[in-house]
Amino acid sequence: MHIDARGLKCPQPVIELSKAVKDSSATVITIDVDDPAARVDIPAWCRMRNHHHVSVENFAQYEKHTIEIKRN
Amino acid sequence: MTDSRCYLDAVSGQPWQAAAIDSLAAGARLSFAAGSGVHFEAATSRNLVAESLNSLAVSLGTQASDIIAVHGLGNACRIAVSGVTAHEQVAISSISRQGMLQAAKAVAPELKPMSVDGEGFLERFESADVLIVQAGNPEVGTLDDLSTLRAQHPKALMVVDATEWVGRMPSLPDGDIVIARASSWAGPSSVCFIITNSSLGRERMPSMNKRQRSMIAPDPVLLVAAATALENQRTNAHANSNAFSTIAQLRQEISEINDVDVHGHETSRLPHVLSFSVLHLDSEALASELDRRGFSVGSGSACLSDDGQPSHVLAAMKRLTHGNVRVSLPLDFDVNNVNRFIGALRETIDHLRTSTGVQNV
Repeated sequence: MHIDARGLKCPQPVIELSKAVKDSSATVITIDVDDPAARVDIPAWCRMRNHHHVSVENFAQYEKHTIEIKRN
Repeated sequence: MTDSRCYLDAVSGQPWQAAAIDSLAAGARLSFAAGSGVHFEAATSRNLVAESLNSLAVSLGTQASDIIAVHGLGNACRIAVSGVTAHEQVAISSISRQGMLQAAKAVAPELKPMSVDGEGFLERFESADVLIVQAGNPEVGTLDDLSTLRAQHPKALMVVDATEWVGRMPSLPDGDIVIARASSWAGPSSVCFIITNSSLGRERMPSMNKRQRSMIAPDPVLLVAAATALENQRTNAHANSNAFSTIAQLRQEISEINDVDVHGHETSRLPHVLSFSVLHLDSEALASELDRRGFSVGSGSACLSDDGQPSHVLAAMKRLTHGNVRVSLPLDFDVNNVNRFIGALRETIDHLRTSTGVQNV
């Protein structure tokens, strides 16, 4: 599953992630963000919700986070 | 209306002690002339400054000659590091306040940031000639063990931002050069102090003539108020143990709220500071809603700053930066009001999560 959260300011990108986890059965989510707070908040959200922050790739205008969703 | 308000943002300034307000009025009647003149009124101003520094020295357990009174925290940060030379290796805590980071960058172009762990404690680092650290982080409260740091780096010059420590703790922290601010003991926030604690610290202080000193000195009347407030605060030491246990209880209750990231260390912390971030909510919205309910809190991070950058402190600690709230108890806090806070916070979080449609996500 992929989310384009470019242009969204904190806390909106993280809200989109939480909604995606709730509304889908995705086990891997990628999300593109350009808000500087998201760089910190996405790994923090993973820690709080027990998901696995796999990687972050940097591009010129945005960054792409990959998250492995842990479902119990 | 104002009686029912509960002020919980002491780090940004707190109500002055009554004795400090009284001394301000008394001082203003005596000290209005610049201290540089030869007449009676100038001598009166000079004497008030000298008496205030002597009183501060007694309160701080040091010598008046080891205290420089400074107007403004920015000046204090600059002067504290002004003895650092360009060839020295300077390491600074990455969660230092912005004013300190800027002052350090100005004297040390190749500044080395010291990383911190998730609770805000300094991680081990290679040695440096100068260490710029904190006796308690003003944003999250974490207290590093400065005596151990001192023992690990016996030869380094230690510059310590103790702006939330002095006035709250019984003695000065370890360090060669220590920065204090009078708002921490319920005095005027523009009055700051640089205290040299060792011969190494004294050697690094700039030699200033009278004119240079007067350029950075606080108004004598404010200095009198700061000295009176500290003198008074010394006799009120139990206030801080009450603050410590009140914050411990708040911390426990807030950590039980769903999806809240509580920052800093449980016990190794300033007595009066607690910071946490509420998932999915905006800091400003939280602070505004709490304000509407009569509670004044600090709202830290991200979306409030002009450039959209998250709090560098929370970022360095890898904590959630949005929805950040800082509670800091003033010296004269009312424990019953603080007990009401937890209920108001729960209601505020429920209300905002419902109204923004994130209650069940």
